[in-house]
Amino acid sequence: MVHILNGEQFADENILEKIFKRARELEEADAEGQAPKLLSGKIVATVFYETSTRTRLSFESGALKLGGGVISVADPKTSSASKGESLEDAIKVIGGYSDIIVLRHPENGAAARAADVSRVPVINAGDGSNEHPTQALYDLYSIQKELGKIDGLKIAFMSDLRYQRNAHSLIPLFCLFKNLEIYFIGPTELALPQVYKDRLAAAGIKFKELPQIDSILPEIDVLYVGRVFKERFQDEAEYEKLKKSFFVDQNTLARMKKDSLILHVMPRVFEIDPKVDADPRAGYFRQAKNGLYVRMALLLYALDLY
Amino acid sequence: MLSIEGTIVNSAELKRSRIEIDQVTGLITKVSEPTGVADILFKNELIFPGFIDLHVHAREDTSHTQDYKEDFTTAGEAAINGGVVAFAEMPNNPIPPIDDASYEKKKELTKKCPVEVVLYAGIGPNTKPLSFRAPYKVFFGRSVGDLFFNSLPELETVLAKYRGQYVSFHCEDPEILEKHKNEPAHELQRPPEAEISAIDFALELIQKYNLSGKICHVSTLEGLEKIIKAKKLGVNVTLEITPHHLYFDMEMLNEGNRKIFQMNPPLRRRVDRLKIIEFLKNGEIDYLATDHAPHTKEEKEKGISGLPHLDTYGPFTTWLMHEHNFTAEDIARVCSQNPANFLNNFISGKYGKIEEGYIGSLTILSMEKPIKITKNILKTKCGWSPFEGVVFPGRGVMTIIKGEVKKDER
Repeated sequence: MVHILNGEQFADENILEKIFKRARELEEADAEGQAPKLLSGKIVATVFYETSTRTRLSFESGALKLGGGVISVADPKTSSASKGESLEDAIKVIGGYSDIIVLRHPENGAAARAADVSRVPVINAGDGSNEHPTQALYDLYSIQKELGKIDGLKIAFMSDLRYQRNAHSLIPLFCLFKNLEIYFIGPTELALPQVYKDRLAAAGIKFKELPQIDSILPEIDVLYVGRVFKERFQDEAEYEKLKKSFFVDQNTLARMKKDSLILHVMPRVFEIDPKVDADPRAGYFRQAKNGLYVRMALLLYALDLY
Repeated sequence: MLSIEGTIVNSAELKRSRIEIDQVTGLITKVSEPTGVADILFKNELIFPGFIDLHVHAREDTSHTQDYKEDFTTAGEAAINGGVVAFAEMPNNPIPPIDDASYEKKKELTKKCPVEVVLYAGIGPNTKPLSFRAPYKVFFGRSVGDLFFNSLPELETVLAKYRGQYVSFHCEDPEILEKHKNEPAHELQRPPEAEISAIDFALELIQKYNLSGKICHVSTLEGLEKIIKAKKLGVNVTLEITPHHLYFDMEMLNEGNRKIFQMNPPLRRRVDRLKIIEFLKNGEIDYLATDHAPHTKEEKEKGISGLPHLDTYGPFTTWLMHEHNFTAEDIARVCSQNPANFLNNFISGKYGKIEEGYIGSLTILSMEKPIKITKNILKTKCGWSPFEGVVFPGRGVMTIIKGEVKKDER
């Protein structure tokens, strides 16, 4: 069995290729209504101490498509944690009822703590502002699937990079592709933590931090839009100002390359004008769908079923 | 004598030079170091050996029944507008050029064309080679016109007579097309496997009958990979790609544009398109050839296949340079030099390089003047473009035909 805890453990071309290939096969099989029932007799526990829609439902849908059963803690208020049970104790108990645990938790490092005491594989479905490796993998998978390649692309992140955990998980994966050029767009207060910048620098990956997207819009291949969390701003005026500069609409599109791609961490709130959705470059709904197949591949990977 | 100075692009270098063209012979007489004084002085513009389009349907023939949508005059004007200095023209006419007499008669019509034209001769169920050298075109399955075969064995029987000739193939397997003819959408009626299977067969025929083969408008990644593999094994084959298979894909089709974007072979998947762009850049694909098919908008509404392209050939190449990182040398290779290597087999002069002794036809592009494609800038008689509304990052600012300035938009 393999715990899935961070992006770093997938910083290996062979593993990535294996998971992406599996995801493609599962997608094709599912299109024919014939996803293999490889989880038959297995139970997947989705344990969410923090709210989620896409992540939990895509794991549960994936488990069911693969013939597995699902047990779920969807609302932390209804779980034993509200009675003061420790994460470690909860994991030991849930591991007795299930064959694999998909965990989301508000604290950084929670997934690793859970893995330390778990007798079944733990999949990190987001721990605090630390990591969200399954999303990072399908982000990368979506880029590969949509643009046919990853290396050599120019990728801009326009989001709250301090807290956006899938971006943190993506950093070690990006280090595999030596000709990438990465741009991090946003105010210095929300900049990518230094440890991730050091990781990129050590791998020799070109990256730049910019306050505004405008100057590079005509150059980039991927625009990755994230959420800006209002609660993280002390100054309302500052938030309102930033909100405008992070807005993607048809004017943004008009300045982008025809064969570029817009992704979004989802859920979308105000960041992308719904009028953009009809453009072929708007890849975020396809990206969300890709999440299902990559997560199916990851369930199988964690359980050594390949 | 016409003298021009600026940055010239041969397929291996980019160099500021002086070019002199003799307007009587139409040939380049000298390429030398720049002096700062010339009839025409360019700054940052790129001077290419004239672009050559190896796949044009100009529609005019001796029946003149299709002159309402294009003729050799308007096709030539559209070519000049798009920076194309010569083209090779397809034979699927109401009266197709399939023997010496019909070929010569059609050739007469090309004399009024302002750019050089080489005609393909058609291969049909009962044809045999002409008595002189010409390129040939064979259609496997039904497309536009009557030059097609109902089965591959029938095609092979005829093609056996063309041993050693230059044969270009439209690859769609008629039997696979027949099987899918009742599918609900054009792209489903002409599935990838029709092209892939026909490419297999074409490669086999090319080897068996020692042909100089050319595969037209490849649209599938799998078909493309088969041809590239064959080339590496020494098969005498080259291949064309169209602007529409590089720019559009089936994922952008909707009920509103489906009829406009109907062509054979049809649009394919986006990811395949992006891979094909890489193959063109890397030198695996030989020619950017348009398959210019000037049908009227009314005909398009009725469901005829093909798109007009000549007017936008030059601007389109600026998109490849600007958005897909093609170098000017890459463009010279697939738009000038490689097509010239094909065309030069059938004419007296030489295209493809800016060097002494070569034909003095040049295409000059500016990467500093974007252009929005609208109906009123087009010269094609059919009067529309699939790129209407698109802003290309650069444009053709001058086209020179054998020493004569035919377009000047500096």
